[in-house]
Amino acid sequence: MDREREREIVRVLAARRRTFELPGIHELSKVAERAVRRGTGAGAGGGAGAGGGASAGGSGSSPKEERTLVVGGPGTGKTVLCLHRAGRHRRLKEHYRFLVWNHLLHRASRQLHGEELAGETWESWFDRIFRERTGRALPREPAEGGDDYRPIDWEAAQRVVPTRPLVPAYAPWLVIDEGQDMPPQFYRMLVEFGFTRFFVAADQNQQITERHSSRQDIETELDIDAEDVIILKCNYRNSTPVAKLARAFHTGDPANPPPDLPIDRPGPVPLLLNYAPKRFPDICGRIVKLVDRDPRRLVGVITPDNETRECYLDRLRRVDEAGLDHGAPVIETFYGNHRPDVRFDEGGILVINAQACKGLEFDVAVLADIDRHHVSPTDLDAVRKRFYVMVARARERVILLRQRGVESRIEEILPDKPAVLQRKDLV
Amino acid sequence: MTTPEQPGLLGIQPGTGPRDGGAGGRAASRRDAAVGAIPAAAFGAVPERGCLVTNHLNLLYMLAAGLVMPRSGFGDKYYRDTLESCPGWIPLFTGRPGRAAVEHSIAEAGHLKPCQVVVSLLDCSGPVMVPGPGGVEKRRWPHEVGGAPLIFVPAPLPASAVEEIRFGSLDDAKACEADALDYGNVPMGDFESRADRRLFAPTGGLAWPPPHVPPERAVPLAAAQAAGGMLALLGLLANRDPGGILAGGELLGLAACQAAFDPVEDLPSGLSATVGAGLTAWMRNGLSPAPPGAALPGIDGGGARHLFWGAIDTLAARAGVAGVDEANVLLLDYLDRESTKLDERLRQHVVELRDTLESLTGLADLTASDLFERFKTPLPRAMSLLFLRSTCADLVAFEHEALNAEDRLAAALLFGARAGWLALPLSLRGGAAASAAVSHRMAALSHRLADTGFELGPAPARPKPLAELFAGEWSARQQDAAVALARRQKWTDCLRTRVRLGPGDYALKVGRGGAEIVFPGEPRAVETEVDRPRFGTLLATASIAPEHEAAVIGMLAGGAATAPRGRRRNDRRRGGDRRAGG
Repeated sequence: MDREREREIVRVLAARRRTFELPGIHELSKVAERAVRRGTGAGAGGGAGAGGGASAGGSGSSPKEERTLVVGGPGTGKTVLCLHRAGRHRRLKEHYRFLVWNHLLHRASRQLHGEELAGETWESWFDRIFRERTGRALPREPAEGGDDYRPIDWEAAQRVVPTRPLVPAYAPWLVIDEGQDMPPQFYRMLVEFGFTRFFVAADQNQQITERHSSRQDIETELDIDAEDVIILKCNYRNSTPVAKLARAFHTGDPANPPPDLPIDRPGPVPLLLNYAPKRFPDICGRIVKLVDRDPRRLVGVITPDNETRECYLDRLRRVDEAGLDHGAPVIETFYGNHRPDVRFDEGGILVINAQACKGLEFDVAVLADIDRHHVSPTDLDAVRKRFYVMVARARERVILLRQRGVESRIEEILPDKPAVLQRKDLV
Repeated sequence: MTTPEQPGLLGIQPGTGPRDGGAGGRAASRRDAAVGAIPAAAFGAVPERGCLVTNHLNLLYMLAAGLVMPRSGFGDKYYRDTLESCPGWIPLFTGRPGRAAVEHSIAEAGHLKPCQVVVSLLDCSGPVMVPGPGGVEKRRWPHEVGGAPLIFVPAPLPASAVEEIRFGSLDDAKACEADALDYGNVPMGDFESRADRRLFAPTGGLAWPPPHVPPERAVPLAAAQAAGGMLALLGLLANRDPGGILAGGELLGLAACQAAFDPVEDLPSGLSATVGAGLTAWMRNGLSPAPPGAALPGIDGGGARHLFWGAIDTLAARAGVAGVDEANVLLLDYLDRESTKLDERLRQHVVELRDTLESLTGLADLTASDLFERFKTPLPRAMSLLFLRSTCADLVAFEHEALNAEDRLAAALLFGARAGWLALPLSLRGGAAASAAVSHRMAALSHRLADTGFELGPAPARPKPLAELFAGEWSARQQDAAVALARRQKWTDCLRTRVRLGPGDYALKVGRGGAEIVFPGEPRAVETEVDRPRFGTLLATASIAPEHEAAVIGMLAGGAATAPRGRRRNDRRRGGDRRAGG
């Protein structure tokens, strides 16, 4: 390969590269700054109010300060805070484990933060810890619905007495992202096993599992006083228009209020594009060009079901690269046990189903064929919650796509104000 | 800029006096004028430095901003400290600060560490305020303030004036260092620090807040931050001029960088009226000149220049405060407003540009090449880049064959104004010397805008870009530095190695992995040469890793290689286990 060609390839790869970069000091709020430091070695003393300073060096933090619960809505920076916190533990040479909900989030965290991130999915980690502490295999329920996956049998697990609990002084910090998706029994057993240091980020409004924990559950299991919970109110991810649209889908749980609207962060108003079916190839071509204009941009095409996901994936991959500046972008998908090497440290297009998008962040979120989402006539809140999560994935812009002429009850939950959601036709 | 005829912020009329040859220039003459008004002997010994009492998180913010700032510069991220008591001013203790000021500066949160920022005022001159018996009094620094335990200096001061950062314990210093590493824009390693408990008196000293403080004053910081961003970007892109380097011609990027750091009237002819004409004025005034008269500017009447520098004003007003999306919306609103004031021909162009830019965040049927094909001039191309790329690092890495040096220049100015100095990561700041040069100019611009009459003294020399350092005939040092840069950047195709051998028989063995020559004895000489045209091309077109650039600049300055950021401070430390972080 000649050197020019080699350089060209390096240039193309570099043009796509995205990494987790440390925020500037002006980008982290005072509340987030306090959360990052709370209880850690050099920042001990961060939990108390005025005048409660403890000396640096790691010995000054109290047991209370070693249990932090951070709650906040989408875009308040919980995941960034967790990654930041993990980086701080690493720099201070404090033993820690970063636990996330699923493989996709684990991969995203690791790629953006760097391979040095000591992280894994909570369930595989817990499986191992259970064996280590009890000497027995983690009890599991039978598989359901033809799936290989066997859920943890929490009742049986709790009956197993730990034979080798941790010495608290040697317990690692557990940094847990999306903590609302782990069940209360998980936290209860961690305490039984001897874990004492927790940094949990959670949002009750983003629960996607049946066995989830409420904020109250986490507070109770980890013995965290309500006044010690750090509440992130400021939306750092979304522009004001994106946040306004997300808020239109908020179901109003008082335990986890939505984040404050970003007061002064204008951006493009979310767009609902009604397209004629014959324009579907054109739509896919435009999505590809969106990435081609900035190859570091990560676009999430969030689909309602597998059929739609496969349809978009197929068409996006067939877009002619002849008219593109950077050649065909990386187009990937992720579902069930199909876990390809999705690169979150590169720009491209990720086509995923709605339930897989939680915790992820895209520069642009395209909510594909929203008319195909199942809308239960008796539970509109369920679909509202799904839209709340999907919309809040977008950093820059949200584009909703809907096929013209398809009957759907989805219109019932869409805001009708053009200032919140502008509508256009592509015929 | 304040002139000798203008009264300045505090209404003090400078007179005329003999020059003392000290700090030089107008600063010296102003100082003498003041001395002429009140005999210096009437005051005590003149201090050379002052000490700001704050907490470590405000300190980190100021270091990131490149300015010792008033409370207003911190936005929402301010922790109560001594700055709170005198908005618009920097309270500096000339002796050991009192305990009350220290306590006041860490009272807001338990994780705050007290610290003292020692600022050199050696080259400064001009009006300040000092506490007097019945209130604060106007005085002139330095000769009229001898003996005053506290002075209020009009904000801001450049971070380059920070001589030392003091902590009360080694633990506090380490905590501050650890916290600095949480951020991507805090150059803690550029500054000396030390821990000394004795400097943090357990009791005594002045009460805080003081009974009398100067009246609040507004401090223009946004334009200064924008200027810092623009200077940094111009420095980074000064090398990127393939046409100029390859043709051996005028380097527009380099010339613009020089003109921005040290404003001159004679700009290179290659700089168009759009970009070049406003550069010097903006860097002096932090604002573009208003269009002449009430006439609507047309394409041929400076309309493009008016639009471009108006866009800079728009972005600069929110530099570093607005996010990328907000800044871009502000720019669209600006184009909307301005389009109504332009002649019909230009208005159509502007409306088309505005609509195109707006479409770029959505599903526009356009690639970057399509855009550059549609727009051929620097203004729309640079504005398009603002919508195509988010960060200054993205712009530096952006390559497209359609772009010329002036397009890049225009984009550098817009990106710099949008981000401001504060938002730049350390990797784009060019190291300690470049940061010092920028911070001084930012602070000086703020003082000019506010007409404080406070002079900061001579500005640190502008950093020289590689294109300038490798210009002309090469010395042996330049040759060695070029080889080092090519090796570090892996530009092996611009290197040629010549091996001189003595007479004899040689066996050449060629294999799949390469070739080797076997001969008795040793080669007479092995020389590495640089293919200058190829080197010039690579210098002009490739992204150069900041650490490589710093190392090569160090070589050219006479050292072996500049230590990477973070080690430099350790190298500068001199003795004593009281030094922090050692």
